[in-house]
Amino acid sequence: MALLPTVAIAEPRVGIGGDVGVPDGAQASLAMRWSAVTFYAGTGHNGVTRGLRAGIELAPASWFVRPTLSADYGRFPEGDANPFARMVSRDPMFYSASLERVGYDYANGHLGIEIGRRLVFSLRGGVSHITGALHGLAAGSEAITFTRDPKATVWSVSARMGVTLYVN
Amino acid sequence: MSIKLAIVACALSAGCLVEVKVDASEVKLSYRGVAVPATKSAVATSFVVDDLAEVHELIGYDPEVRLLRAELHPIAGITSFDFVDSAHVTLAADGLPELAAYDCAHHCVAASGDLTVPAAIQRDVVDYLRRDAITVDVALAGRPPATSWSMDVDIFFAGSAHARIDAQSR
Repeated sequence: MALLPTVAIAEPRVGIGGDVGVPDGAQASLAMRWSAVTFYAGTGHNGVTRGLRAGIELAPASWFVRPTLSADYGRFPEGDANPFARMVSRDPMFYSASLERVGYDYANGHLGIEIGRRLVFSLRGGVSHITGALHGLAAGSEAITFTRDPKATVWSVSARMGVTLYVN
Repeated sequence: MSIKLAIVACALSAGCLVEVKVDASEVKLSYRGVAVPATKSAVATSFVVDDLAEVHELIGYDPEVRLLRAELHPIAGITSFDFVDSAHVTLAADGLPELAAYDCAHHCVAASGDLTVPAAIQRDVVDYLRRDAITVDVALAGRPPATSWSMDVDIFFAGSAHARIDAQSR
């Protein structure tokens, strides 16, 4: 009887983590890591609404301090951004009809570093592509009407930092 | 995009190194109640649109504007533009040459009775929208009614704007 080759499949490491950055906001995620590949998904808040995010990360080295390459996609549904704008602009009277419904989809491409094995600290930075519709433009005009809401596309630098605790 | 909206976008999306592009696929500029006196031959009427403050705010960042179409809607004295054989709409603004903006020589009237005149040019006309006022001339050839009538005019255009906020511009 021929001996069949066996392949040992390592059990995934499971972790829970949190990170803060832009455009992701504050996120809480569940992570599953197989060797150099980590899948993560979670929920977060950007100061306006709650959203979802999922992604994949490669950390090809087994060093204590290791480089990472990650890509993720997230969505924040529309919400009223006027309170956030008042906080950012420090103008308690600020209001814009165009900020009543603000939401966006985003995709990140990040390089970063991770430090640690069970408790992992991470710092990532790179570029983000953000898309969303603009509502309420020219709301105060009787002569001007946007019969179709304009689309906004943003390319920006972005970064986030976080920590993940692997429970196994 | 207003400055404050750009700041919020900057704060929400990045550390103020941002490139933003806004595409508006259809924007309508409306003028209500254009009165047309009775005439036996071609109709020629003119009005001025000067409520452009909102447009100026929106086209402040590297904009591009293209004409789409003009729509004429009968509101009093007539129920349809089926008397029209051809239609021409021109735009004029202070310091700029008259622009043959919309033109239709046949099949201009929709089943609803409205008149739809497609754009006659496909170039950037943002300079006309930067002015404080635009004069719109409407010329209709055909068999006009023997009584006075009035219409609403909608001018449709599309545009895009581009803004870049970086560390050097802060």
